Amino acid sequence: MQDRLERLIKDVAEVRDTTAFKELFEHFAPRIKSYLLRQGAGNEEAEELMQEAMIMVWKKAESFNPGQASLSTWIFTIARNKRIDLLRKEKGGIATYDYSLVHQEDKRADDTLISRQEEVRLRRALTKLPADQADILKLAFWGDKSHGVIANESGLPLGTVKSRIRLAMQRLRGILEEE
Amino acid sequence: MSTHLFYQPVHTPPDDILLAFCAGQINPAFGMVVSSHLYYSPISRKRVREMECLGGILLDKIPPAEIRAKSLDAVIEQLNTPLHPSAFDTEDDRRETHLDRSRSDNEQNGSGLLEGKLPPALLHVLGGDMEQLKWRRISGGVEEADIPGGKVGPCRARLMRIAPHTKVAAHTHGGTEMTLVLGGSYKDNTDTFYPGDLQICDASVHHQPHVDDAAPCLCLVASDAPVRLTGLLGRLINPFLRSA
Repeated sequence: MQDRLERLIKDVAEVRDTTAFKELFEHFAPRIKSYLLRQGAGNEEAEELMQEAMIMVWKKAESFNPGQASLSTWIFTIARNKRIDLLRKEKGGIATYDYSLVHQEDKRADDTLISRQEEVRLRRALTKLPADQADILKLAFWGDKSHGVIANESGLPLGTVKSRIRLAMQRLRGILEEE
Repeated sequence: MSTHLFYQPVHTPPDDILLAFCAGQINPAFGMVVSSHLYYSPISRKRVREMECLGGILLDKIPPAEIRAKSLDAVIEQLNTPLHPSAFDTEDDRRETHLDRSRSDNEQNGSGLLEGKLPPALLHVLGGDMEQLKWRRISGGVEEADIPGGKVGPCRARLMRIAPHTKVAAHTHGGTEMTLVLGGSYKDNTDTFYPGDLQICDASVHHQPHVDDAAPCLCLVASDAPVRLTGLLGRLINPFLRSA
């Protein structure tokens, strides 16, 4: 599926293909909105931010680099950054997610990028993760208003959620290593 | 190949904090510290990129929400056709994602760590240099400077500077405190912390950081509750306590 989606973004980038964009919209828009709703955005807000995110996808299609990330990852970061921009307007703050600016020596051996193979392996490893551990990761990423507050205003997970996230990531890495 | 050994931070944040950062949940004051730490730590950057990859995989799996019927039309209406980067409206648009090809081509090559420069993200917030900072004395040998936008809700990020041969008053933390070393080093009863190291303390930690070196120690610190002084000094004065 990633291959199909990446062909679509290529069409958008190269020839401004609105049909291709509509297909991308059909796949991503409902998911981006779902993510934003779960983060606590109201329906109106989530619609607006989702639209802004999709416009961003169109505008920046050319700079999507399949060597650096899958399309879903790229779009996830766009949606996440949109949400952070909103929080910044409401609450202030100056956090930046632009950590590509690294020490010069680091750049020569920047193996921090996730390769296409690694992404495939990660997908597979996630399917092998026990359901309750996969659930805690979903909760950690998506948030879920109905679950009550899993984190306080610091945005840091509390108590058992904290340790469960650590265990789930540890297990996930263990599965990756086994392969 | 450089003759310098690039110090890789030993003290890195645990996965739950990196994930909170990656998912955009973390309070921006703490986010500032984590993001600055990433400048120094390839290991942490790799972990965050893995988590972003997870974020993408999970985005595909999330139960989709209902979209308004007119949504697509509304978006199509707003699309521009130019391919040129000047189609970006705002600086925010230009800086949207660090995964962009064009961004990585333009990466700044700060010599950062070795020459005592600050992480670009922090430097940007400070308006380019440290000259604008207003340092105020907290206690003997310890100074603090506010960062613009550093206060968000109950959380506060600021710079701290500890003079050579100074012991910070023994204290514990009501909530969470993150300390990122930017220059120099400090010790506590657990270890020594160097530039790029991120120490995370909570209520269970009682520590008394001290700077033994001849050089001052510069740190970026964020916390969500006032520090509580312990020991005799704590009972006499409370220089760390600040009202929200």
